[in-house]
Amino acid sequence: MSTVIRPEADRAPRRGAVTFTESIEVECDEQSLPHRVIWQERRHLVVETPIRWFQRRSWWLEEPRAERGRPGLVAHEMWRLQVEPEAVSRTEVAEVRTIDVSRHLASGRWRVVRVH
Amino acid sequence: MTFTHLNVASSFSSHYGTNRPQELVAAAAADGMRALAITDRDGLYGAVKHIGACVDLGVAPILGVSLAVEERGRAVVLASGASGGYAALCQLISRAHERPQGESARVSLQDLAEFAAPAAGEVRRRLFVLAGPECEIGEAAASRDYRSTRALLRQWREVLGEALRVEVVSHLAPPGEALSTAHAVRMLSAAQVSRVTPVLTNAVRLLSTDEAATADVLDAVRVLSDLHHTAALQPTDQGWLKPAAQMEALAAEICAASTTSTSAEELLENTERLARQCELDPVTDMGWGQPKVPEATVIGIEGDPDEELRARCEAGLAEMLAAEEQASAGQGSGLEPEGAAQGNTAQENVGTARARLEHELSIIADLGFAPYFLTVAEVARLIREMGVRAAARGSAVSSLVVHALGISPIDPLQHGLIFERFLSRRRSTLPDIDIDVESAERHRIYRAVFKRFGSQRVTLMSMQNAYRIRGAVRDAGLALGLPEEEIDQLAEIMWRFPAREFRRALEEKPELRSLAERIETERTSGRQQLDLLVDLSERLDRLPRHISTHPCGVILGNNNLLKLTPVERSGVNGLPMSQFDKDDMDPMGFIKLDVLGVRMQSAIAYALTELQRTTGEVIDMVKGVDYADPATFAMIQSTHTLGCFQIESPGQRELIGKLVPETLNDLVVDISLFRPGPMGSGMVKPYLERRHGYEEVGYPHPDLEPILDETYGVVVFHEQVLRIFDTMTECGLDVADELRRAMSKDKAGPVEIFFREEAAKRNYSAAVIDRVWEILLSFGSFGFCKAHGAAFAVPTYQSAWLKTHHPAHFLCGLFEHDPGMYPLRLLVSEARRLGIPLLPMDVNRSTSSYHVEATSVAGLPVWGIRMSLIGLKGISKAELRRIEAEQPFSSLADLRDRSRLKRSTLRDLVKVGALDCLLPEGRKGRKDLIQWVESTNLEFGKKPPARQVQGQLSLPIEDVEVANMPTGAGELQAREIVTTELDLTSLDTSGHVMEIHRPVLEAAGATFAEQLLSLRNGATVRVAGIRVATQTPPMASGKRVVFITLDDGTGCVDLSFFEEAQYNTGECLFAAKMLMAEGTIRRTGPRAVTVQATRAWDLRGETVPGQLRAAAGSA
Repeated sequence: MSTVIRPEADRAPRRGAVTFTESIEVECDEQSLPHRVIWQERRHLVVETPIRWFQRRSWWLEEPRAERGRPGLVAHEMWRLQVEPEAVSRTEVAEVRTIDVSRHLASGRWRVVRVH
Repeated sequence: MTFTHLNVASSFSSHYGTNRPQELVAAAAADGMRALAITDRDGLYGAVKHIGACVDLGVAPILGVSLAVEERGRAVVLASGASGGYAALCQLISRAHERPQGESARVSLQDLAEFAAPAAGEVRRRLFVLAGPECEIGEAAASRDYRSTRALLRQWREVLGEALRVEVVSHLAPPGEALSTAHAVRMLSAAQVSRVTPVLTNAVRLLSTDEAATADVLDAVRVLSDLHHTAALQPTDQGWLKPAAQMEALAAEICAASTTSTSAEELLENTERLARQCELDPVTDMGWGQPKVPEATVIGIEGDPDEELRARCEAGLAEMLAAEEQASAGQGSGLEPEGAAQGNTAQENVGTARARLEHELSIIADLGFAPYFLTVAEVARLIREMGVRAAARGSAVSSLVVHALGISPIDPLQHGLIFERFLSRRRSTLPDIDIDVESAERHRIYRAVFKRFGSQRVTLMSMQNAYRIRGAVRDAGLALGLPEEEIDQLAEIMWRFPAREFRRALEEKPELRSLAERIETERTSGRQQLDLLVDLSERLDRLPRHISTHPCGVILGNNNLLKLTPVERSGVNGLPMSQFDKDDMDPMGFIKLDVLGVRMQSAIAYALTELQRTTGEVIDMVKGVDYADPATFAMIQSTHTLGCFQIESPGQRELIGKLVPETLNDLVVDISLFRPGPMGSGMVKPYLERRHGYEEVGYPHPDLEPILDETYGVVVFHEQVLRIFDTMTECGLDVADELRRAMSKDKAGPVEIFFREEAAKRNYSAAVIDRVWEILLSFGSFGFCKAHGAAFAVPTYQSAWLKTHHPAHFLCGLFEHDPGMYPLRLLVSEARRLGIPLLPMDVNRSTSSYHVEATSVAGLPVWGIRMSLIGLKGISKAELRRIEAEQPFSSLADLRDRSRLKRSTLRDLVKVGALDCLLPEGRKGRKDLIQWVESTNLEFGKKPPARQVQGQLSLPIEDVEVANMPTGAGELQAREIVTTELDLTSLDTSGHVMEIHRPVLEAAGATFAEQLLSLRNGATVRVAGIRVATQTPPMASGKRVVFITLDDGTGCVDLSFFEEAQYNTGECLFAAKMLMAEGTIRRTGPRAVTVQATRAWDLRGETVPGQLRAAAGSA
């Protein structure tokens, strides 16, 4: 029996190079596209059109129950965002970073799952 | 802007789609969509339901199919609204299924092109083809093989031309994977480069994302794997019926990511344009609701069908009246139910019959159904001509026309049957005529019907088998990767509750108590599989699993039938079978005839054939049998009715014991009472009380006496309800039947108002009206159609008569065709109880059938039954053929050389004693032979000699091998013999299986079935036996009562388990094959006794009473 992995658990997913999960706040525009995030206690702007997809899960290993009415049981929404710190000090070089974030459908909370 | 989903799989895409067409249409309607397609895999299985729902909800229907294209993946094909579009779709699907047995449905690109081409004189294409992610083009695009993508698309375009569309789909899979937006973008650019119009679909298989887990399970089960090892799982949960707004956003997302010039608006417009071209008009395109019957010329009529029907009925009636006159003059003993004349003169009878015939014919003419009746008459004639036993069944028996045409032997006037119960001007549904035939001849009859009417007018009907609890548990267990053994054990303890109520059943059902405890323990220890199993089983409930041939439905249509329904090969007989089921018949205007194979008819036919073969006696079961035979009724009253049609079940044996039938009409009543409705509504008790004089017979009003006197004032039959309505409100029998139907559908309110008002107008007192309404309300909707009862009573009596007068021949027929509800071994046990010698398998005498054989017991000749070799597990048809062809054999060597049996077959024949006849000392030497066969590994000394030249006689040389066989192993014990028989044939022929358990039974002080009748009411007993039946009929109280019947060798013990007993018994209630039970005797009638159990044990378990003492005794 493999270990139980929950989306909000701070544990490394099985695939990917630099992977972990941490909390992130995401602000969306009128079209429901993320355009601003607070990550690692800093405000960032989304600088490219975000890419969205859904990531399937091995729910039969990860979930104790599979009755109807569990949102996000089979897949959860993922966004790939290119972000840049909003305010940059003079000594700092603004660095654009690519992060994958997931939205937990039941709670509406966002997590960073990968930093590229 | 609106959006139309053009690729939608419903749950009729078995092991793929998750929602019923009705649910999908309802969601589309709720979102304001103007149209919706259904495109199930391999067929139109859900099409009629889809259209029905669309018509109801004002959505324009579109029909299509997802088909495998030879070596090129899968594509969706849509019927266009052009003339012949729907027909082309049906024919294409039928073509796809024209494959050798075992191959899955598929078509070629050329097939698609052929059927897509416009009909003669038309411009518009009949079909459109969507090349999407599942076809080779989509697969090439998924693997980023741009060159192949375009090359393949060009190939498709060359063959299909303007019928082709590129289907753009994104399930928002991770970037780079199949069904990602990038995948959709590649399809879009391939479309643009190759100048093929792209359309957007969502390749829908879910109503909402909530169903995605169900689809995962279906994906795993489809490839017979578990979830963890299934590569074919959907990439995301996004294949759901998204609202138009979300589809528009998706179009924007795809087009934004694309470098082509195609805009989202354009993509959506293309889709909508195609949708409009595919909208169907059910009435003009597929003849929705219009009855279709074979053309008059096919039935052989040239003139007016109504006139033809009248002429045939009059001829039939004249013939019958003449026969009746003759019979009454000669006091014949045939099928003449009492009350046949009821004091009427022959002339009056003729008058009544003529008036009735006129009445029926005028209704049939008004409805235009004459061709249908003539068609059924033609089928009945075909069956008779083939010499097959047949009997009409169902409400059609109420019709004098049906009787006069020779379809039913029952005269409706003699039984007081009402035509309006079958057909009236007020009934919109097509009539249903059911014919029961010998089950063994069913397929031969189907073939004859196909031949007679032409295969373009006939197909079999199909049925969808849906998930129930056991199947759901098995497949959910498979998906979760549970060990097979655990799945088997789990499935075994499940007993008939809706799978969707699994969680609740765990709390309520005593047999699931220990499972519930296990789930609890495992949950705390972190194992979640059983919890998931419950949820997944609930999800699977009622989803269609696979299609199969309906057991009796034959669709008879006109020349166009195959343009209105796709057909595929029936798995049972290879004949064409419609993809539509019984609920689709009325909307499609298809007329079906039920030709039901009834095993009892075959068993009776076989008994009669054996009787003629062994004694030369030929019996006409209709005219040559006394239907008031005291010996037969004495047998029925004894309740030893195992093997008799309709009256062999535990509940029926109890009812027979209480009712004590004395006439054929009593049997009609008995059969009518033993239905879920009557049993549940409590009408049985007053009937019995009054019948036996414990309660006074009374009628609410003298007008009702003639209606109710045959059932002592109790309403039993639908016919009585109709007559009460008609008498007290003068509403006419057709309206009366509508009132009855309304009441059975819980719409009694308006019926009550009508009844009270109308009856009051006719001067019935308020008290009478109250009383009658009360009766109608409590019994009216539950009664049984007397026509059914009358139709069933005839074969019931025939089987009882045969069992009484020719028991060996009758039981031989039962063995051969195994018609009833019990396992064959119970019938074998019954034969033993009746003293019929059971002659063991014998390689020189047994064949592939059971036979009656003359034998003697204590010097007196009796008929015995020779067991058939067909019961030997593992014997092949070819081996049976060779044995039958080469019989008799003079020695083991002779058998070995000429029958060329498999070693295992030879070994098993030795073990069951079928070769005793070849041993010098018979059965005594069997143990030696078994040991020798097992030790020599069947080498038989030498290699078999070369096959003998035809015609050359073999020398009668001694059987060298047997002469050399070591002897002295002694004789087998009776219980060894029985155990081997059960293992190898599932039958205990030489003795009863309970003999093996005798020590335990004795130690526990068990009582046997034959002693139960002599015990006083309330006595405490222990009984034991092998389970032969388990039933949970609906009860008036609504609580579950489990009835279990055990066979202990002296007869049947019928046990009832109420709540507490179920609780005390637990898991083995449904799982154990042999039980010991403790309980009290309940006497319910002169011959009726049951044991009300307090608890039961698995007889082979360790805790069973007597086990310890027996073990101590044998030690």
